[in-house]
Amino acid sequence: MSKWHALLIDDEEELVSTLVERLAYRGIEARYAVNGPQALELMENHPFDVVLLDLKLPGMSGSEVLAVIKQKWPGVPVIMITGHGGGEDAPMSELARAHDCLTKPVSIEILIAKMEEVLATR
Amino acid sequence: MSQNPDRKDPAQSPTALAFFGAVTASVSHELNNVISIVDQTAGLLSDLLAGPDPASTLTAERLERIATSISTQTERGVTIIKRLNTFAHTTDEDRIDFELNETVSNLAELVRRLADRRRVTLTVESAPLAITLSGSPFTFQELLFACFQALLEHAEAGNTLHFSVLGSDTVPVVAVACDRPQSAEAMDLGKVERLADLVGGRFTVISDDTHTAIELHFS
Repeated sequence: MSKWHALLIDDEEELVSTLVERLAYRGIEARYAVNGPQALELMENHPFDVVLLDLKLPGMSGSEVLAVIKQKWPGVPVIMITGHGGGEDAPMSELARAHDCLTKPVSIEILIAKMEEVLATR
Repeated sequence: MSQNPDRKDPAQSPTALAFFGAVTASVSHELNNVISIVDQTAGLLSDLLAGPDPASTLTAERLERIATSISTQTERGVTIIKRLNTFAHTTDEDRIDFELNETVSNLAELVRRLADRRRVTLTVESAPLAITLSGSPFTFQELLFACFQALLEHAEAGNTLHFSVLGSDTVPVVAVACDRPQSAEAMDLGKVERLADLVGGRFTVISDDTHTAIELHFS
């Protein structure tokens, strides 16, 4: 039985598919999407407890995806993931709308700890 | 390409620094992804080794996939760093002979991610023969980037941006085109004009019902 269900959204498929597998080893069921529309479709069909979202997505941006999630699933915490944690890459206004933020590369332990943290404050 | 002698150090103007920043920021983001993938792949290998039955989970096929992933990402990282290094060294000399096909192709690859993010396809077409220009390769790339930005600003998802090197050694021409009609008046071409003047070239905008192209002519 999974502890919770996570959705990972990043256009680097090899990265998110590996993370999904590593989370599974730790008892966390996760799915991934490589773009915004795919992520929103998954959210329509599966209940997720937490979302990890890359700010820089091709096409529909991470900010746009975040706005839809906040509107349609306001109870689901979103952790933004950025390349460098600041500047144009991650404007403060965007980060403020998310529950928390992580900077790449992120260790699996920190990722899980952050997920637990946002879920505890839900 | 005869450069305007009024400007002593083109690589140090605010717009040049902004251009340098835009390129390096995009590239560093991609490098971060490469490092992240290698990091997670190594982590996965550790997970499998630490599992209850590594002998059955770590099959030869599995190990081969992991090795291929690390090798692919390493190759990707090396290519990115080579491109970035080539780009960085274009600031070394204000006036030098440089090959047009290589310079256009290198810049196009460095800015590809910016087009990808808008779901705009980027294509590059080189001239059949090498074309040598003399001048600042950095300012020339800044000019190309200004053309790219002017067209990308109006491009929509599904459009294609095309860099092409045309002409010959005696009449070099570079075109940056988009399969979307756009009038010259609606585009921000101030930077293109200033930079074209700076590198001693001229530009023309060609637009019809289906395409818009900015052609850069050098002599």
